[in-house]
Amino acid sequence: MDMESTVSVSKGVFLFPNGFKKGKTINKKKKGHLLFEKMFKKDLWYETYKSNWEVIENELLELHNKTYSLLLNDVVNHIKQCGNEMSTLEGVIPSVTLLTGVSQPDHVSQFKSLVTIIRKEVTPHIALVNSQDAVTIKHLVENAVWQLMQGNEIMDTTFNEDMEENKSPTKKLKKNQCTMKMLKSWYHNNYLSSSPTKKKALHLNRPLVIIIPDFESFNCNVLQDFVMIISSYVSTIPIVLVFGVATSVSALHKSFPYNVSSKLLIKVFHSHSSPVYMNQVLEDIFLTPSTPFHLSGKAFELLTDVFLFYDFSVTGLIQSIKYCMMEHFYGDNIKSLCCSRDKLEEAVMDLSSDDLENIRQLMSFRPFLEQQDCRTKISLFKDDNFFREALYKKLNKLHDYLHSFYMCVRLLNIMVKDLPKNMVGRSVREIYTKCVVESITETIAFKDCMQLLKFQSQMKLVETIKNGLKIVNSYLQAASPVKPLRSSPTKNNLNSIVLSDDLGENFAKTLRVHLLTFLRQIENANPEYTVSSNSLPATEDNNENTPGSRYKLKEKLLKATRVDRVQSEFEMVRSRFVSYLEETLSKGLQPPHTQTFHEILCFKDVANVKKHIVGSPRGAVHTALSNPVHYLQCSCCQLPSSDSVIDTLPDVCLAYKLHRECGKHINLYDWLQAFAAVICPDEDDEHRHQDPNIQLRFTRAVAELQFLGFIKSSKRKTDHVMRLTW
Amino acid sequence: MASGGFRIRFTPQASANNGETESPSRRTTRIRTKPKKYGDFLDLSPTKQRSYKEILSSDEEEPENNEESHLQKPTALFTEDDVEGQDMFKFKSRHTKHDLQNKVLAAISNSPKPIDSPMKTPRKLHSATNSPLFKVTEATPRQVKEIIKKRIIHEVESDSAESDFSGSSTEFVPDGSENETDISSSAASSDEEEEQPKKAVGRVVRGQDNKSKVKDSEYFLTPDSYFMMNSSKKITTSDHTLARLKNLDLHENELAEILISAEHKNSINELNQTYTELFNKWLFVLSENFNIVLYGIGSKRSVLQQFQKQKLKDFPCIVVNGFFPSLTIKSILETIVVDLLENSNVPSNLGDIVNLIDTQLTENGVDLFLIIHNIDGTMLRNAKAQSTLASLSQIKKVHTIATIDHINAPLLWDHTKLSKFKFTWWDVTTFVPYVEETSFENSLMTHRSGALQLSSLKSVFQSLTTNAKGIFKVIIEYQLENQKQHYQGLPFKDLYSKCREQFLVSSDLALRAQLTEFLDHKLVKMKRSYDGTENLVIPIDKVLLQQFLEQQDS
Repeated sequence: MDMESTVSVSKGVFLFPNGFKKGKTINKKKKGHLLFEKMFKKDLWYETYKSNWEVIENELLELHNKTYSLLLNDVVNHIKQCGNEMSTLEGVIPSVTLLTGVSQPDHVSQFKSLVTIIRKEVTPHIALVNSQDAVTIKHLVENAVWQLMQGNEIMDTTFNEDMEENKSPTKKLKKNQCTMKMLKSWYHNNYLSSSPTKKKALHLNRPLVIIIPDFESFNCNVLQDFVMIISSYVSTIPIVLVFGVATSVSALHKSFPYNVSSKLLIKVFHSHSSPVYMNQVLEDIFLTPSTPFHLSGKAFELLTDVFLFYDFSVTGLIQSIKYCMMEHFYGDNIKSLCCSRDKLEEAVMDLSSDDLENIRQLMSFRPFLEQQDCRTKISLFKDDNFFREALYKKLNKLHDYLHSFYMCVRLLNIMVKDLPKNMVGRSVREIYTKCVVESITETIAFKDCMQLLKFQSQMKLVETIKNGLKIVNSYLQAASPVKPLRSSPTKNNLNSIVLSDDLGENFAKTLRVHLLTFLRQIENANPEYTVSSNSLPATEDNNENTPGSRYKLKEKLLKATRVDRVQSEFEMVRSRFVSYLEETLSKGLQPPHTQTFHEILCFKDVANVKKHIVGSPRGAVHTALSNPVHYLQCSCCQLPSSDSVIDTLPDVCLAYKLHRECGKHINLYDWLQAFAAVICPDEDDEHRHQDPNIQLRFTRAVAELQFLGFIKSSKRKTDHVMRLTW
Repeated sequence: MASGGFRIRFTPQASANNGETESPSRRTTRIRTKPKKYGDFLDLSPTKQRSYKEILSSDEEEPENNEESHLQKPTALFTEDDVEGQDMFKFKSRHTKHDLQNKVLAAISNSPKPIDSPMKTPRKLHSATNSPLFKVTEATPRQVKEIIKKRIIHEVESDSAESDFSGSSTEFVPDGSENETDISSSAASSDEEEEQPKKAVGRVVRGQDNKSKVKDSEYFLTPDSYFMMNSSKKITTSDHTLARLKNLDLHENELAEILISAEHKNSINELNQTYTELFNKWLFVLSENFNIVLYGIGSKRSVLQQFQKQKLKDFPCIVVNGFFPSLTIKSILETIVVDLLENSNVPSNLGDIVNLIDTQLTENGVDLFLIIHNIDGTMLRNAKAQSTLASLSQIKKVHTIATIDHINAPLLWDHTKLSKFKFTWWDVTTFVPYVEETSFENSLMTHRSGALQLSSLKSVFQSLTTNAKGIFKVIIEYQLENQKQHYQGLPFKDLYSKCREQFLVSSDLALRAQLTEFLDHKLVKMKRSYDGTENLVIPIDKVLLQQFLEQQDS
C-alpha cells in the first residue's frame, strides 16, 4: 500500500479490503469492534468519557421527547381525527402542515419521533419521503407506496396473525410494481373487502400517512402532480399528508396553484423556535451540577455564538459540546476524576502516582498549597495516600461549590428575570456566562439590578421569592452527602487542611430557611407608611398654599425631597432582603476559576476547539502563503512585513505575493519575469529567462495557484490569467 | 427593526446620560434613523461609516428570536488570533501597472546580493536593477519604437496613464523618464500597504507571531472600490506573450529535486512529522462519529497515506482521488456496493443505496473508511455528489476523512450537508507540492501544455502517409496565413481544390477518408458554418503551429 498504488490515469477510486470478506461475518464481527475500541479501552479517561456521554445522551433523548411530545400529540390527534371521518368533500385530502423553522438539521429527529408516535398510536402505514428520493413523480409514488405497504408487515406481526398468508408476497415487493392502483387494491384486500370480523373492524379506520419532511427542497411540479393523483384516490383510500415546511405557510401557497391547493385541507401546527429549544437543552442538561463536565465561560460563549450566528441548529450545538467533551477527556487520565460524585472515590483510588503528579502540576493547586503549613505541604507532595485523601475532599468541595453555584445562577435568574433594562441577562445561559467569567456581584450591572430589586412591589417580590424557593428545594433534593474516603488514613493530620466554609447542601438549607423567613415577613409586612414623625411644615401649609406663590411652592417641594422619607415596614424588610441576597450571591457566585482543581471539571481550551469546530481554511491558506514562517519555522524566510518578498520563499508563496500586486488580469510573461527577477536578481536577463529551472518552478507555482483557486485561465488576451480574488 | 436596533444598542450611553442630567435628556438620547440610501454610505465620515456598517451587519446577523429582543454580537467567535479578514478580502482598488515591478525592486533591494549601498537612493537602485531588464527592449527594436510612441501619448495624457484603467497598455519594463513617477508611486503604494513593522527576532514560536500584530478585526467593504475595479472593460496589462520565451520545450521530469531548498525540506519534514502525532486523536474523533476534513496549503496525500498505513491496516478503506478528472460519484458507490459489499448492482435511488450500505455494514460488523483526497475536486463539485457523500458520511459505520484545497471549497456545503458530514476541521498545512493533484490539470502556462501538444502532434504526424502529411500541411499553412480574430477555418471545397493542385488526392472521397483520420486524432476540428459549408480548423495555438512547421521544415 504505497504511494503509487493510488495513482492511476484511469481510475479515481481504490479499494483496500484489508482482509474484509463479506462471507466471514461472525469472525469479523468481534474483531472489527475490538480493534476500533481497543486503542482507547484500557484508558481511564475513555471509560469516564463514555459513561458521561451516555448519561448526557439519555438525558437529551428524554428532553427531546418531552419537548416534542406536546406538539406531536396535537399532530397525531389531528391525524387520528382525519382518519376517523372520511373526508366529506370529494377529492379533498386532509393534510397537516408542520412549521418547523429554518434549522433543518434538527428536523430529522423531530420527524423521526413523529413517525414513532404515529406508528404507535395511529397506523403502521407511514411513508416518509425525502426530496432526494423523489426526483420524479414516479420515484415519489413508488417510494411512498412501497413504504406504506411495507408497514403492513409490522402490523401483521404485531397485531394480526390471521393474515399470515398475505405476508410472503409483500415481502418480495418490488419497487417498480408500486403504483397507486396497486396500493388501492392492496388496501381493499386488507381492510375493506375481507369479512368484517372483530379484528378487521379494528383496522378499518387506519389512515395512510405520507410525510414530506422538506417541502421546500422538493420539485414543485412533482408535488403538484402527486397531490392531484392522491386527490383522485382519496375517496377510496384514507390518505393524510404531512408537510414539513421550514419557512412559512405561504411557501405552500406559492408553490401550489389554486387547483392544487383546493384539494388540500390544511391544518397548520407551529413547532418551537430553536433558540427556545437550545435554552432548554442548555439549562436542563448542561447547566446543572448533575453532569460533572462543565464549560468555561469562553467555551460556552463560543458554542452559543456558533448557534446564534452560524447554524441555528441544536443538533450542531450538541455535537459541538460533545466535541468539547472529547477534547477535555482525550488522553488525560486525571480527567477520569470528572465523573459523578458516587464514582469519585473509585476514580481517586484508580489514579497512578504519575497521574497524581500531574494533578499536583495543576495551576489551581498552587494557591491551595500556599495556605497550608509546612508539614502538610510536605505530606501533600510526598505521601500519595494523603494527597488522595485531600484530593477527594477537595473534589467533593468542588462539587458542593458547583451545586451552590448553579443554584445561585438560577436564583439570580429568577430574581432579575423581569427587571426592566436588565443588564445581567434574561436567560440562564446569559447569566451563566457572566458569572463564570468574573465575580458578577462586583459588576455594575449586578448592582443596578439589586437597586432595581429594591423598588419591586410586594406582590411581585412574594412571587419571585416563591419561585426562588422552588429552585432551592429542587436543588436540595439533588444534593448528596459527602462520605469519607474508603481507605482513609486517619492518622494523617488531615484536619489541618484549611477548608473554606461550607457550600453545597448546607448552603442550600440555610438559604431555604432564610428565604422562607423573608417570604413570611414580606407577606405580613405593612406596605403603608407609618405616620411620619417629623412633618414639620404641616402648620405652614394652609397659609402658604395660595395661588401666585410659585416660589414658595418650589421651596416646599424642595424641602419635601430633603426630608428623609420614612420607610414602611415592607420597605425595610425588602431592603434587608436585598442585602441578604447580595451577600448570599456573592458567596455562591464565585467564578469557577477561583476554585482549586477546577481544571478537572471545567473545560477551558477554547482556542483549540474553535479551530476544529469552526475551521478557517481560507485563513490557513492565507497565512501559509503570505507568511510561511508561521508553519515552516525556518530561519531563511523571516519577513519584515507580511507583504514583503524575498527570494528564499517557497515558490508558491512568491508567485502568490506577486500576483497580489496585479489587477484583475495578469500577464503570465510579466509575472514570470518578476518571479525570475526575485529569484536571481543578479543574473543577466538573457540567461534568467532562458533558465528552464525557473520556468519550471514558475509553471509549477502557477499550476498550484490555479489548483487552489486563486487564478484561472482567460481567453480575453493571449497568455493572460484572471485573478479570482480581490 | 433597524431603529429598534439603534435604540437598544445605545442604551449604555443613554442610561449614562440619564444619570447625569436626569430626565430632560430623554429626547436627545434617541438616535435619528439615518436614511438608508446608498449615497449616504459614501458621504459619511469614516468613523461614522464604520459604526453604521457595524450596526447594519449585526442587524443582518441577528436571528429572529422573540425572547431576546436586544441585539447581540458574537463574543467568542472572533478572537485576536484570527487571520485578519482585511488581509484576505479587501479590495486593493488601484492596481497600478508598476505594482508588480515595484515589488520586485523592493525585494531585490532587500535581498543581500546586489549590495550597492544600504541607503536606498532611488537612482542607484534603479540603475542596478534596470539594466538586465532593459535588455529585453533592446533585443526587440519594435518594442522600443512602441515604447517611444507610447511615451509620446503618455506625455499628452500624463495623469491618466498612472492608473490601471487608462487605455494605454504599457510594458512591464520602464524607461528612463518614468523613473520619478515610479519611485513616487512605489512610495504611495507602500503607504497603502499598511506597513506593519514587525521586527523578526530569531525564531518565532509558532502561533505567537500573530499576536504581535496590531489587530483590527473590523473591515468593511467600500462598494465604490468594487465598481472602480470592474468599471473598465479594458485589460491594461502589457502585450508580452510567452512566445518571447525561447525554450518552450520543457521536460517535466526534471522537477522533483530543484524545487525546495534544503532548509525548507527539513522544516517541511518536521512539520509533516508533527501531523503523525495527531493520528490517534483522529481515530478517536472518527470513532465518535465525527468526520475529518483537512485543509491548508500543500498536498495532504502523503499524510493521509501514512495514516492509512499506520492506523487503518485492519479496516476496509476506500481511497478516492477527487482530483481525478473523470471521477464519477457512481464509481465511488460502485466500489462500495459492488466491489466491497459484493452486491450485483447499485440501486438507483440515493436513499436506497445509503440504507443498503448501512444495513450491510452493520450486519458484517465492520467499519468502512472513506478517504477522499480533494473532496472539492472538479468532478465532485456538484450538489448531487456532495449530498451523496454527505449521506454516506452520515452512516455510523462509514468514517470519512477528506481534504480540501480550493479556497472556496467550504461553499460546497449548505448547513444540511454540513450537519450530515459532522466535520471537524484540521489545519494540515504541509507545503508539499501538489504533484499528483495538478498532474491532470491542463496548465495555464501554454508553453507547458504546448510542449505536450507539440510532441503529440509530432508523433501523430510521423505516422501519417506522405499524402496525408501534405494535406495536413495545407491546412496548417492556410490557417497560419489567415488566422485573425475570428478565424472560420478552411472550407472543405478550397481544401479539395488545393490538394488536387498538389496531386495529394484524386477524389472527394479519398480526402474525406483522410480527414476522418485527422478528426479521430483530434488533429483537426470540423465546423459547419451557416451556409452548410464545412470548415476545418486545427485547434492549436498559432505560435505552436509555426514552431511545428519550422521543425518539420528543418
